Amino acid sequence: MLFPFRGFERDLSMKRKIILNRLLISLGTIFLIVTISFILVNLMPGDPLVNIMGDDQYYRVKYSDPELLEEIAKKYGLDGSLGERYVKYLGNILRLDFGFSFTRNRSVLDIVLYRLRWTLVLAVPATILSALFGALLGIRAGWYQNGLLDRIMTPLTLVLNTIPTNCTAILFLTLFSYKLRLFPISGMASGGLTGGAYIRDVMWHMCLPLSVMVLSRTCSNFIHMKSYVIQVKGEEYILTAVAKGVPKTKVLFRHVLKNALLPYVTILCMQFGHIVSGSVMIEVVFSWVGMGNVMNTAISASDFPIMQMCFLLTAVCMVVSSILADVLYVLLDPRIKEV
Amino acid sequence: MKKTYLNVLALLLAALMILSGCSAKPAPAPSEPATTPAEASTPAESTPAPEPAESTEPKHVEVLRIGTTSTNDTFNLTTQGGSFGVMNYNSFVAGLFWERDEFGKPQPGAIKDYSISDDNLSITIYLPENLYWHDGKQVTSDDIIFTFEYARDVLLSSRLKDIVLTRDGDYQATITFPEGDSAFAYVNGQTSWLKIYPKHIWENVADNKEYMGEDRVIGCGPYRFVSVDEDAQLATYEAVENYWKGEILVDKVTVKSYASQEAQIMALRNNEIDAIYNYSGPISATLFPTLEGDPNCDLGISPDPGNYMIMFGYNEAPTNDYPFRKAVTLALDYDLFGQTIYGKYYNIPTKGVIPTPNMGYNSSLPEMTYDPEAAKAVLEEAGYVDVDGDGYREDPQGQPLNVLITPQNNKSRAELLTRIAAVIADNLDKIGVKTTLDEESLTSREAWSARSENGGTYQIYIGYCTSGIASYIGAPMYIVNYTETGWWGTWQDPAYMDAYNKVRASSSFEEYEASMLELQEVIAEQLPAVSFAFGTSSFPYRTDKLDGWINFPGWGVINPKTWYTTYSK
Repeated sequence: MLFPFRGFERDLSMKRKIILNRLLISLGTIFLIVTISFILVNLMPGDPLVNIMGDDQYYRVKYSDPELLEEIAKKYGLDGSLGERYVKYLGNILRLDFGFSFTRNRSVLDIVLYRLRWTLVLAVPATILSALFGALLGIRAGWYQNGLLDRIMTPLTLVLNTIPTNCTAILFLTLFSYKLRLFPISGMASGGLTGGAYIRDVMWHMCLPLSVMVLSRTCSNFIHMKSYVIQVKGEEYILTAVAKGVPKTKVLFRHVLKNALLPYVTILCMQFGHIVSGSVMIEVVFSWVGMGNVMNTAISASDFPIMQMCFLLTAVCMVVSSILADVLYVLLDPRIKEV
Repeated sequence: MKKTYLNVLALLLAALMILSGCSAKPAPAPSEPATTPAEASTPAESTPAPEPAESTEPKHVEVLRIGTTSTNDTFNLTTQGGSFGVMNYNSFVAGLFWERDEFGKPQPGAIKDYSISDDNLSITIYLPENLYWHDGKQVTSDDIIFTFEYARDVLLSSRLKDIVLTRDGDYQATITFPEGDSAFAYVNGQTSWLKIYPKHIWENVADNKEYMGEDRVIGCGPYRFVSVDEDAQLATYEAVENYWKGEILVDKVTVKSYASQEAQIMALRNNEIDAIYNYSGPISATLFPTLEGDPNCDLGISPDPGNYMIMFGYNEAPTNDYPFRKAVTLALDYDLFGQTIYGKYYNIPTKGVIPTPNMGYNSSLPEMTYDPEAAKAVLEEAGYVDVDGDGYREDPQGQPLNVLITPQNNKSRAELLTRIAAVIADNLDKIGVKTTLDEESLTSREAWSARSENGGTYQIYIGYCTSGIASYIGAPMYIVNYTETGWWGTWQDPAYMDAYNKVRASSSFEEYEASMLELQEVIAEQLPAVSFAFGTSSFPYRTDKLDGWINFPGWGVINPKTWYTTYSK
């Protein structure tokens, strides 16, 4: 029994009940993730004080003035038992106080929101473009199976799909930026620009990382969409429709596409779930200072507050995307309404 | 026909997908002097106009573009974070008390001069009367007193706990250390790091790290902070007019942050930057081939004052036994280590451990030799023989011998340290000594801490002496069991301790150099440690447009002298 408030059930429509049910489960999931990420981060090897103070000062103080070390630990909220710190952490989250970065001398919220913005600049168009390209090409290749497009795209996307994104990224960087000098080596902007020039400059900088992301995701989307279309195309109701003389375009859009879109939506929602953390390697290769980059450096530097907020954000994104998939399913699939 | 048309359209869509982001290259802003890669590829645009023949004055550098791997996100005079923090080691925005010259000696930085008392307990600092903070206020002895108080009370420098501060006038102040301390050692140890803090800004700031006021970047060095573009990871600085130390030839400096050394190298080759500066992070030898042969770039190779070395455990057998240590030093293939760590740019180390460019390097000591047969003979003679016939030697009491190799726990060097450990294991295997890699210490800081700190229990320890430490006390500090530092040394031999303490108590460069030479004699005699190779550091720079670079050993061409010596060709 997933929905605990039986008294309200009668008053709610089935759709609303399902969605509310999912929301409650999601809240529980987020709470669990917050707890697990707190424990994992705090059990990671390495004393964060070493990163806060620097090697030299840490060891000098550790042996010559251990009380001072305790004071510093207290200042950064690293004193007390794990349980005490956990309770404090939960309270802070409720107040949206994610603390102060150990290594960057700034509020964690400021740092993460700034980085998030840049990740979204890259990830949102990449997700949309790859969803469109993957769907259009996949439908076409699936509908005209063994056609020219299918025969070219299927082996190509299968090969590209097996190459790790960071390898493609390095290849693109070396070829287009280093050898051909068409794009900048790294970063998100040249600096000192405003207005339209700034926007064009950012777009110029995002060309390569965006291309790599779009390429990689489109390959995967194409393969999925093609197989869904082929699968649906083989159903008996499609045969019936064709036999009844329904025009091919109508069969494709009314019957095939509508059914093939359901699993495709799930794939897209999962991609949306990875929107925050899915471009870590690409961000690192192209020096794109987004969430991937900040997570990478926070882990290296044992910057607990940043790590915790990044994990929380990633988890929230996953949960939200899961809810989104559920809601879209409810809206798109008439069978669910009847459950 | 229609199907073919649709197929062609779909293929075009696929091509568009691959080139999805390819928009037109934006025009550079007039205010941005750094050239774009595409522009840089045009020789006519990247080559400056020839200087008029009659001009003898060095031509000012309009903008010096520096690439670093430190991030442009922390701008605070009192911390050492980010590119701002590490650039200040070069007497940049911050006015340093002491900066190091190319010979490794401390020189006055933003201060006019300093003197150390005869009893080696006091340092008197003399300020120039025309030194100003970047907000226009004058730097006075009040700022000096405040700096030491702030370093002691807020920045928690335990070294300054018992100092006495005296204001000797508007531009003069004295710091006196307690009996038993060494003022010379303090100066030597604080060179490149200790900055003057403006009293009028920081006296009311309770938490320096959280302070976000715009004046947190006010210093009294030769450059003032202008702006940072966090999106572009680009910080801009401009030279202070009429700076008291002399004519600054570099008018403007930009510091751009890169995610990796690979990106830095590509940016240098593509003329996005003029020089690479990473504090204690020379370019990896594996990247050298990328730049070799480029007529516009110099690898910036210099002898490295720091080095990788083995420290033998004083508290554990068999490394507390001299013949065993001697056998190990004979069994190591120094050429192989040199290639592993430094590519082709290295020299065989001497028995003194301290590399060539350091003050007090003892050139009279013999080089290490690779002689596995001699190593076997030493072990046989000392009673390390294979009793049970398993191919590995037992200790002189006939007990099984399995020597633990403990690498330093260092994330950025873990890969190299593991490779070094593998070579040691292979070398010792050849003389019948069984070894085990201390993987726990390599992966867990706590395990490593327990094994190595405060009189550790390791046997063979692989560590790295940074160029920063090498410049003022060097590798011997890592060897000695000295609980005050908390470092991982275990050596307590009285002769070594005497020689080491003599170095620490030096009151002049002459004394420091003489005692260092003596200490290396002791090291050669006792073999508490052995260096794998005397290597090189590489901090590449471009040579096509700028000249006058001075390459500081282990530090590179971006150093305190860059601002006054680098000029446009």
